[in-house]
Amino acid sequence: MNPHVLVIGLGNPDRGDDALGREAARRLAENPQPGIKIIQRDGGGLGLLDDWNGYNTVLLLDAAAPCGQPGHIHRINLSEQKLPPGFSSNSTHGLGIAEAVQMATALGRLPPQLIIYAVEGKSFDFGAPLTPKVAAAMPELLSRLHEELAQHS
Amino acid sequence: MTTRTINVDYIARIEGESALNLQIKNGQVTSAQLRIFEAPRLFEALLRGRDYTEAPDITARICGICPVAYQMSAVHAMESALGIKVTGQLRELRRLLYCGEWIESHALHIVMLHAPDFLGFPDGIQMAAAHADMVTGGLAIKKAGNHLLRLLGGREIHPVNVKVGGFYRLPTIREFAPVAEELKTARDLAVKLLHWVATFTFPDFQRDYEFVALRHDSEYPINEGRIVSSRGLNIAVADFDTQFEERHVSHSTSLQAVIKQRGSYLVGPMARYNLNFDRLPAEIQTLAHAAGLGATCRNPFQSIIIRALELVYACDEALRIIAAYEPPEQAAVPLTPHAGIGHAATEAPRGILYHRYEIAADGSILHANIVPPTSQNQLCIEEDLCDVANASLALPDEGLRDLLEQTIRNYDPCISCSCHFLKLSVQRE
Repeated sequence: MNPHVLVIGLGNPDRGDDALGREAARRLAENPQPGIKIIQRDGGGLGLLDDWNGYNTVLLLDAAAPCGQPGHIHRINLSEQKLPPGFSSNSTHGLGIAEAVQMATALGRLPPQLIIYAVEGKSFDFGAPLTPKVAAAMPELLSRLHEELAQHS
Repeated sequence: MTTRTINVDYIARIEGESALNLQIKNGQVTSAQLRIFEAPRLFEALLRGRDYTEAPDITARICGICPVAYQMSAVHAMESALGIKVTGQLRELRRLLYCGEWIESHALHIVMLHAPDFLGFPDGIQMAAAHADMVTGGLAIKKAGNHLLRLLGGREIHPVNVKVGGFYRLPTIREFAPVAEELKTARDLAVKLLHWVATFTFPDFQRDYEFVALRHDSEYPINEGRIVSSRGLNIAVADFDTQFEERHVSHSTSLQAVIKQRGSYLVGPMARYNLNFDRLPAEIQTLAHAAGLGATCRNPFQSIIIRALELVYACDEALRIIAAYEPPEQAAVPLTPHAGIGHAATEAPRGILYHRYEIAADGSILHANIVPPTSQNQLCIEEDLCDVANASLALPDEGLRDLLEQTIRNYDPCISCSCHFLKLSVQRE
């Protein structure tokens, strides 16, 4: 059976808590499930439109900018709510998740279900490991992802 | 006395950080400054003491859009210092990799950064709903370029497969098959894009530029050639420093390059096209005429048509090289370091990129000089801004601001590269 659920772990593995999305994707991929494809990407951007082409349900796992609660897990279901401000990229030549979502919406290429799991990070230093509170959030994140995937598979 | 000031604090849809400050007194523009406040990059200093083999990978980090240009100028300059020339299929593969960069860079600029100016949209995303087919097509073209970079360079941004002397790993003929199919589709889409941009309304503006580009005996210039200009300059790349100089200006962290004793000059697609129209295949020349271009274009707003034309050319050229590809015996020419000085200039998407290195007997870099296209175009951009503003002073501030930002985007400037670049501020007195 062709996979109809796509999980995308986003981030830079060498930038502290930014590695979180990819690390979560890597751990999910250790137990492959039929119907679910898991990939890792360096960042947001228009490449996501090609990545999620043809999938019914897409889960985006990413680290979020610090906002007071390192390790706090935010779940944003784009079919129910709008992307909060702060997801825009500051780069002019590289586009973030927000721009990818806006472009996909304009071109009619948004997956029917796009759910973003964003975990608040604390440090994004070069070469640093996950910070303790973010690392400690991983089991809860994985458990919520397993529940989410069970609903969609 | 009446004073009018127009400021753009942060110029959008260009790479890097810059601002524009325009001062108008008694109905005349008195100053147009492109204020570049991107932090200095200091790449030339951090190259000192590094091994000559590291230059392509270090300098690639100057830019995420044109890393191949940096790698190509670096490897050619180092090979010039060591007195070797890479020929045959390895040379062709380098041209192919460079085609990939032209394709992804031009497609991005045309569709996402420049076209919205002509159609009255604030950005490519808001233009996408009204012109979904063209945006989708442009993104597909970009993707084909990205795939070429991934295949030849190991990855799409900051490729890792280029080395002085050649490549680390050679592609197989079989690996090219899917990319070739994608490039054929991209070529058709690029022709549609060319026809589309040719229908835009262009401001009636021309200047008497000195165009500077590479010129090769037989090819449309990408990786090599002599440096020529529309005012008779015709020099070997090694003589760059005798004719060009970089100056520091207080409002910019980017140096401004000038031709000695003459001043500003223009590099990039318009210069390449004007100085090398005869090097384009007949089919591309026919497409140019059909898009409304003569053999010479002096309207910088029409650079978008030339970029689209170069996009078609780069797809054709990539397909030609792929069709003729036979894997060479070795992935790279073996090299032994010795003391020397090397120069190279290649045609980055935005214009000529000059590198000069002095290396010691053990191959360590003693001195590096890098002159990117945006430093070379900076003075030209400021002169355009003056003339465009003087011709459009009747416009209200907002309209004038939009037009001036568009004037800057004609150059697809890469500020990060030049910083070694926009807010717009106009003062009317």
